[in-house]
Amino acid sequence: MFMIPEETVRQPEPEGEPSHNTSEWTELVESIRAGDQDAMSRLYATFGRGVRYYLSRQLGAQEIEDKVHDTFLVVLGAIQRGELRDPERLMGYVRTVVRRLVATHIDRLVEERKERTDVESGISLADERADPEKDAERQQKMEIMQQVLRSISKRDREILTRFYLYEQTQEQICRDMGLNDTQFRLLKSRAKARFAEIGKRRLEKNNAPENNFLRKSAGA
Amino acid sequence: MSATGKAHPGDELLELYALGRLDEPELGEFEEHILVCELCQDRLDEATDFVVTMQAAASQMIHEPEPEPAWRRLLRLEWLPMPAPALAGAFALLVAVVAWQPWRSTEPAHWQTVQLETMRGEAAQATAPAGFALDLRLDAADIDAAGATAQIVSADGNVVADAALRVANGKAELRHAAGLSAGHYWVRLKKSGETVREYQLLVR
Repeated sequence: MFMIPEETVRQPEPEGEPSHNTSEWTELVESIRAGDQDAMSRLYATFGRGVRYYLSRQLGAQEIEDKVHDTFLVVLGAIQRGELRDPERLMGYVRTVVRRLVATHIDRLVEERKERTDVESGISLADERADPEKDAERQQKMEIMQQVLRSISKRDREILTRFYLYEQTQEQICRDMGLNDTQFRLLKSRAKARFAEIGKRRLEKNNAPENNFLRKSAGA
Repeated sequence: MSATGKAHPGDELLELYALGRLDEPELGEFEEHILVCELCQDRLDEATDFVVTMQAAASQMIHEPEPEPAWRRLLRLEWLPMPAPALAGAFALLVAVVAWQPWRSTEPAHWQTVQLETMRGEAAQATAPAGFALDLRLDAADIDAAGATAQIVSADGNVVADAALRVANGKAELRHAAGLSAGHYWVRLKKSGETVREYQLLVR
């Protein structure tokens, strides 16, 4: 493997910045405490998508709106009761509430499963409804990735397998395989680029508008 | 990355989060940012998609046997359309059949009958096609051809064939199955070692 300057490997950071800052949170919290209905709407508008995203990522799409609503009730209640002592930490507080809600939900699910399994041994409560479209999409993506893995050397494949599958750290892999950080990052970025490239080619070949994931992978 | 969410996390941080390997305090800062940044939510989805697919693909591939190098596959002859011993047997059979040539009949399928006269000049010169089995009918009306033999001699004096004659109704018949190549020939009717008659034959 040859050496490449660090700056050529690092991906450019995305442009644009979130428009929120600590003083905004202070103003928002104080307005809510003062009973400003508009401020409550702003709170929802600011965190709504993110809370929904976080919850659906952790728990799936089931009853997601109820959970988002529950989160905001807790946050609003805490603000109105003056329990949020440091308004600048509003984001952190919202995160704590969401994480707590996720943990509670998981605990409840585990308990329910345990009880149900005691009665109906071997029956799973997981939401495993078949989705042929998603299955086909997953299968297609996996074929592309396998194509990528087969196209690289055995050593490079081992590096990727160690990192992504065996959960070894970058430091450990670099030490074991005699790599530097740049080489490691380069290998990963090449694999991603190849994945996107093959995905794009397949997309062009199939010209199937339903292949959203390929368009996404290809950056189209 | 600031806790205020002012800067977007880098790709490596997104990947570590997708892999579930981010610890506090980075984890807290990252999740707070994700709660308010739609751009990074999309980026995280893509990173997660890549990680999950990579894990699934790698997991499946580690159970697959290592692909054998092309040169070794060639040596193992697995690319052959049938097992090597069967192919060797088939090849031996083919060689035997080609050598035996069962399709070749000892008797040529087409005989050409040619009348040979003793008169001199162009008109008397009989012609025959090259490569065909020849049934030569020699004019022997005024001689006693019983017990005679015949020779086919090329223009340069080589005896191409020497065989007994069949005589019937004043005609002596000489059959030459091998055929002749193009050229001028003499057919000599011989009795007691002496040439008693000679015929011209042009093969073309």
